[in-house]
Formats: sequence, C-alpha cells, structure tokens
Amino acid sequence: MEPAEVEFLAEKELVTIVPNFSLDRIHLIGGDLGPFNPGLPVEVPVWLAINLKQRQKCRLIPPEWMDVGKLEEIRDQERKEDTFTPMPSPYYMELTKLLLNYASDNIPRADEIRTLVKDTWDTRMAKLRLSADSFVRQQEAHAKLDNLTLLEINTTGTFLTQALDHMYKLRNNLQPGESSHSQDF
Amino acid sequence: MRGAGGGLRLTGWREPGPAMSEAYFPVGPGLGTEENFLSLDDILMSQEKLPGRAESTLPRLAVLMGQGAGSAESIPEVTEEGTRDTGTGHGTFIARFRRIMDSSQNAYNEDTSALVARLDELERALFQVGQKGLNDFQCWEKGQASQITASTLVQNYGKRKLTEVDG
Repeated sequence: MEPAEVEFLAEKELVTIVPNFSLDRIHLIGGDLGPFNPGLPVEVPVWLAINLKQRQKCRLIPPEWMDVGKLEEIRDQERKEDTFTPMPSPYYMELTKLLLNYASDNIPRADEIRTLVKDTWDTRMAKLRLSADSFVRQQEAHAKLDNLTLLEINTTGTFLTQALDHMYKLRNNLQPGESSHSQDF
Repeated sequence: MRGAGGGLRLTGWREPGPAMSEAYFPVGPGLGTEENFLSLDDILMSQEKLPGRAESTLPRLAVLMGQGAGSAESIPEVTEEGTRDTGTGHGTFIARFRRIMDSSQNAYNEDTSALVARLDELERALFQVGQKGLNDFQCWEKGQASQITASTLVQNYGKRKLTEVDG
C-alpha cells in the first residue's frame, strides 16, 4: 500500500468538531452525519472535519490522547518495554499528521506533540527492525507481533517479505538431488 | 520474445497503487527451482556458466553441451548466484540482512553508493525496496503525496514548457 492509502483509511476515524453553521442530518451511504448546530460539539469522520476546517466552518477538538502528558507517558513506556505498547489509536501517526497540518491552531502545544509522536514512531520502528532481525537470524517459521499499526507494517512490510523470499530461495537451492551416477564436467 | 524491440512490456503482479505511476513493472525472479521466463534477473542468472555435476545419467544430451563437453552427459546446474559458495550463501545473507535493512531504512536523501557497493544484485534490489519504503513514508509525511508532480517519463521527453513558448 502507499502511505496515502493508509491515510485514506485513517480518515474514517471519528473526531469531535464544533461547527459554526446549521445543517440538518445528512444521509450518506456510509452512515448519517449531523445534525449540525452552531456551537454544539458533534462527532464526524476526519475527512469531513478537515474539509470543514479548510472552509473555516468549524473548530477541531483534539482527541483526548493528543496531549503532552499522555504522549510522554506513551513514549516512555515504549522506550522501556521490549514489546509494543498498545497505541491510543490504530492510526495515531496519520491522525497526528492530519490534525497538526490542518488544525494546529486548535491544538495546544502542537510542536511538542509532533516531536513526541515522532519519537514514539522512531522507537517502534527500531523495535520492529530488531524483531525482524532476530526472526531472520533464528530462522523462525512464525512470529506474532501485537499492537502494530497499519502504517508501521506498511513501511517495512515489503522489505521483510522480499528478504524472506530471498532466504527461501537460498535455502531451497541447497537441497541436493538424488544421486546415482555422478560425473563432473 | 526475449530481445524484442520497443513495445515489449514486462508485466507482473503488483499491489494496486496510483494508476500509471510507472509504465514498467519488472518481473521478479522465480521461487525455488522455478524460473520466470520474463524475469531479467532469471535470464541473466541462467547465463552464468557454472561447473556442474550430473546426478543421474542423462543419455544422448551431450549434443547440448557443444565443444569442450567431451564425454560429459550432463546439463549445467541452474543455481542462484548466492549459492556459488556452496552452501554458505544462506548463512551469509542472514548475517548481512541486518545491515541491509538498517542502512536502507535510515539513509534518507543521502549518497548511498558506499553502502550498496558491497552488495550483490539481489541484495541491491532488496536495498532499493527498503529505500522506497522510507522515501514513500518521508514524502507522505512532508505532504508531497497529495501534490501533483510531473511524471519522470514526461520530464525526460524534454518538451518545452508553456511559459517558454513565445506569444
């Protein structure tokens, strides 16, 4: 997948906005949205929230995990543990990028949040590579990693599967055939 | 047909992505003892001449060997480049895997010639895959994934831009 495709999936996540317009409930194929009343918070998918924000029709409320204290806790736990911390959202990286790019004025301490999320991402990717390396070195047949997000898997997945294909080819070419009469040439 | 002129398109299975972002889809080498007819890697690899040993009698095939075959009745063994050192190829790859993974996924916008100089062809292809994962991610993070840019193919045509044409 392309990162843009993962982001497309992430945009279905819900976020709270405060609209400045009125609109009755609208019925879309994926579900109903609204009704919208000025000043009343309402939950909408991120794709709509971003669109409304760009048209200056709403104010975004950051998710409760997008907070310096909470993210520091997560980052510290990630650095301490060998396993992967369960993340507050399966699309934490994509949501951070989208909300901070389009609505940073609605998010307190946006720069610190960006740095904390990037640090957590870097730690997790390093852990993923470490895990992949030990999987390859010990030539395991099966591995299970909990709490990975789609974007993380997508960034290293192609490399890992091709490397494993390569290993498989090398291992299979070592099988000797049945020998009866052998002759060098 | 191999060696055919322009218009030959090598297609292979690949994951759905932005349509027409590339006009050339390389076919990878086959798995195990299989070869893919359209794979450039497999074509080049099977040209490699290696000493081989017939493990069973193959009568009347000496004619395939041409001159110098003598009384040999055998066909060259087809093996991957990695097994030329008889059996240590697998272990060598495992030892080098970490290096290739870390360097390909951490070197962003740098000159990587020193890193790839010591890799063989298949490892280089792997390195490119790692770099692509990194570059795609960085490009997305900067917001360039949603910008429309001219395709490299079109840029290579060297056409004049509209702004350069005299009114």
